Amino acid sequence: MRAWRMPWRVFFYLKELEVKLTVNGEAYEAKQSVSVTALLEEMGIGGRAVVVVLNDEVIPASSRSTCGLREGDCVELFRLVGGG
Amino acid sequence: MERQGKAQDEWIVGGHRFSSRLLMGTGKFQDAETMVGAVLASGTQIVTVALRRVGRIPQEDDMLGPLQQLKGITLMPNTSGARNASEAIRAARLGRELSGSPFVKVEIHPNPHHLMPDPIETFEAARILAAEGFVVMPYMPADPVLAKRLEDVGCASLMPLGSAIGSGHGLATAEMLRLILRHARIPVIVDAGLRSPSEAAAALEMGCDAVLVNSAVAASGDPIAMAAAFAQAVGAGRVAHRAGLMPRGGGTALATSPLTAFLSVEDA
Repeated sequence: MRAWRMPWRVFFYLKELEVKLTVNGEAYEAKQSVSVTALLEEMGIGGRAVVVVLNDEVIPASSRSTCGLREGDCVELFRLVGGG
Repeated sequence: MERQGKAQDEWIVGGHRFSSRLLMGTGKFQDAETMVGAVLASGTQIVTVALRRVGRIPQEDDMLGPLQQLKGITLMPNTSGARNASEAIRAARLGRELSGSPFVKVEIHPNPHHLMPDPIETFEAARILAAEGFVVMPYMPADPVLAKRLEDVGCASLMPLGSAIGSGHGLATAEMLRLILRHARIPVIVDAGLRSPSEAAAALEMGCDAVLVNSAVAASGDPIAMAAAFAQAVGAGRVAHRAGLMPRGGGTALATSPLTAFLSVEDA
């Protein structure tokens, strides 16, 4: 039986959907994260209280779902922890 | 006879009224449950929190969630980790976004060895943040000259250190604190260095408006009991300050009982 092989055209199509980002200083390939909300969910921090900084600009929680991510975007995520 | 009610002894910082004179840090606690227990036992109304980048797999307890469920607690994000004014300003803005609180503890200590606050960067950050409408609470060296400068640029309070952060060396700066207190027109809060409730009481007796503790509670044998002990000490120190301590004797003893021969007639 022949193994199923992904046609090249499909491969490149999927490749184009991936977005190369920098998240908290590290390289991150977001699978299909078109929005900030989708990225947070993909990272497993959707329900947490975080502040999102996209290219040095704070993204208000209300516009996360409409805020799209592009190749090369720099995302920083912060939250509150215990401190004195 | 009427006792002076608690309500009459509120203090105001940045237009906000508080009755508790104990501020609490939330770092170094074993778990969120102990932290919340200590916060409740302390009766505090202002707690500090820190800002951190989210790790790929967040492991720490979520400190904000449990705190936000408590009633009557004002969050005060700090700027720890900032090495200069611009980093502190950025941290302050992010902290406000997360906490929804206008309070900020400006904390800039570039040297991890002694953690002494940088007076120049602290002043610069405080000046800009005060102009942006923050309730600026600067962690600062116990320096009366800097204190006046910080007051002049619109800080809501002064938070001079008693001794190095987490050192437990108590009120090593007592003489400088007295000078700050004599001239300050905004609340003075001793921040950092306290180890025992008696030191907190001493700070309040001296005339400080409040104290901020973290390690003294979190690193104690029983954080919840220690938080309660600090609350009592702060209360006692404040009442003592308002009552006014007796004058010191001039090197001679003054008897509390009559010293005349005990069999002699009174007023003889």
